[in-house]
Amino acid sequence: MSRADLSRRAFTAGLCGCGLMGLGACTAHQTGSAYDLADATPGYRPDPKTDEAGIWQSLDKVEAEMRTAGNRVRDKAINDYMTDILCRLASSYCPDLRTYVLRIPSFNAGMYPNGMTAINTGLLLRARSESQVAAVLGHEFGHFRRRHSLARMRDMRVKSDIVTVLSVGVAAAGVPGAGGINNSLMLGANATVLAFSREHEREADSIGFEVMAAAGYDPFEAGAIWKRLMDIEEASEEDNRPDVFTSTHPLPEEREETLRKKAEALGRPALAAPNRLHEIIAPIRGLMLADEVNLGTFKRSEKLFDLLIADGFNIGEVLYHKGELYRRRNREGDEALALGFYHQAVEARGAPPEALRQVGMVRWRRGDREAAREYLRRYLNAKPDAFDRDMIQSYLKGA
Amino acid sequence: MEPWRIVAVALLGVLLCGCATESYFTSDSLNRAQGKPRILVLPADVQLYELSLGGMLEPNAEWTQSARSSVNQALTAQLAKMNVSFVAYAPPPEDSPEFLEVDQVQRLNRAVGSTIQAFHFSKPNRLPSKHDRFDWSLGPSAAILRRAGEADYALFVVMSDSYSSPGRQVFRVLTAAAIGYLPPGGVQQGYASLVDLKTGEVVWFNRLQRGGGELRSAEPAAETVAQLLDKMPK
Repeated sequence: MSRADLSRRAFTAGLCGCGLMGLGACTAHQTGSAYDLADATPGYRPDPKTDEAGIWQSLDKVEAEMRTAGNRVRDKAINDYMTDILCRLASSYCPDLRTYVLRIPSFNAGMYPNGMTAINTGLLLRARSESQVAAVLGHEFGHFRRRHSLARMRDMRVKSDIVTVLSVGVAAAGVPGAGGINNSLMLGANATVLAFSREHEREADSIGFEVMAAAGYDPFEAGAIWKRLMDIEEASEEDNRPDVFTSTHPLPEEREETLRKKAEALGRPALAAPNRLHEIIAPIRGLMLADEVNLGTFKRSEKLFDLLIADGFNIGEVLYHKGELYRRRNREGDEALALGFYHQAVEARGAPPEALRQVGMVRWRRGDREAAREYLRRYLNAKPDAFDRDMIQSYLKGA
Repeated sequence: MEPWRIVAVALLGVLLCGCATESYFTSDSLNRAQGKPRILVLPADVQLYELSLGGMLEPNAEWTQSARSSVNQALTAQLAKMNVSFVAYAPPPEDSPEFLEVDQVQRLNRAVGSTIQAFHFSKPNRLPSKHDRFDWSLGPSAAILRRAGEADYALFVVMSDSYSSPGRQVFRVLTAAAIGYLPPGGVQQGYASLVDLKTGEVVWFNRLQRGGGELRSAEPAAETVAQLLDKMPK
């Protein structure tokens, strides 16, 4: 037997030994299976000797930064409201959860294993109702209760262990085309990791649906939020359809359909679902709309604004920002369209005084000075402490 | 010995040799005009990971907990040997405006620390406007720490370390025996940064990066801290 044969055998035997002891014996911290995890129970904390404690500890550090983050929304009413929705959904887990509303215009929320719950303003702006917010938070609660983060970490560890051992095995055996085989191994393992993640998303959707319906929210809104997001996405000219093979989440169509069918089986709740969303986010909605305009995703933002106009809450505010969307794009004819939206905004409920200013400024540029001054005067009357008061008054002089 | 084995051993040698730190400074001595310089030591930011067989870095809670306390103890002990006064950091109450201000300076320091590493340590990335000078500052906001701690300088320490899991250790040995390639083990890296609280200037910045070192227990942690502070201005 050659020396190479001997070392190959030793290698295989050694790693099999490690495998036989259970992969748990391969790590210094205590670990366990990725695939049969019990639910987190209320008040649960992992043993400090475990891999799970490592996840918690690094998240505690993230949370400490989140507490003092500059983009954290500190409005007490909004934070209390989010905690209230969360507690309706999570009931006995409520004391374990801590809410952070973050000023980030993309649609997202996350409930992490240590109880830190982050909610983007982009979710609050896009949701049509409290039930839609509850559907998303319920989904996140599903990840939390089922300890999906831990399961994913263990799943990735086991699979990367196997792929690593196999690829060295392939190299040691001197198989021709080893590089190609190893790439395929890696791709294959990656696909199973993602499939596992999609399984988790389905499970979280299902738990989210149960808890939101049990809390008295409208179950039809669980599918409806996905429909709404798909409508916004379809308005985009870019082709950013997720791929079935490489996606971490199931396709939105699948999620919408599954959730809609569950709602049809269940029916509407006997009592009207609570819906305080619009009143409570009102103080920051102007800011959220401005952040949306700043994203520079014209088609998607326009679609979202049209949906918000159809919802009918404080339409003037949305029309003003729709005008801003056009003015900022500044293509041929956009200024005239923007002027139209500013005019509509002024006539509608909830428009900020800035809508009056924009009518005035656009009319001024177009040479219609008399009408411009009229609107600028109205702007200063509506907002006597405007930061640009002196500049606006310079337009009014010489009238 | 076959050539690839020589390469592997050489690489290991580089990782384990004493040339693990790289330092830049604006002055090689501390300002001792008013007696012993007072140095405010911010709690070291320490994170330890376990390197899984397949190469994943997993945060390890027990190790990190113990390393945080041994690194902080070693820092105090090491500074005592350097004839400087040590000022412990007493954080303001968490809901006070001072807490947010101090927090902002710490965030700024992390941002400046990663910028220094990206744009000074990496020579091809050096900014033309800096003319190769080591010239970085936290600006006047650093003075907040001076008020908080009655100190002349602040010392920031950031360390991370990773260690092969038992599975990885077996895998490394067996892989080296079978195909002659030694898969990488854990890496210790971090930096110490000394800031003049009067001006906000980063007086000294030392980066440590090596395959050796041990932070899980007190004695070897003191060795790492000694390495880290070895070139600090005296």
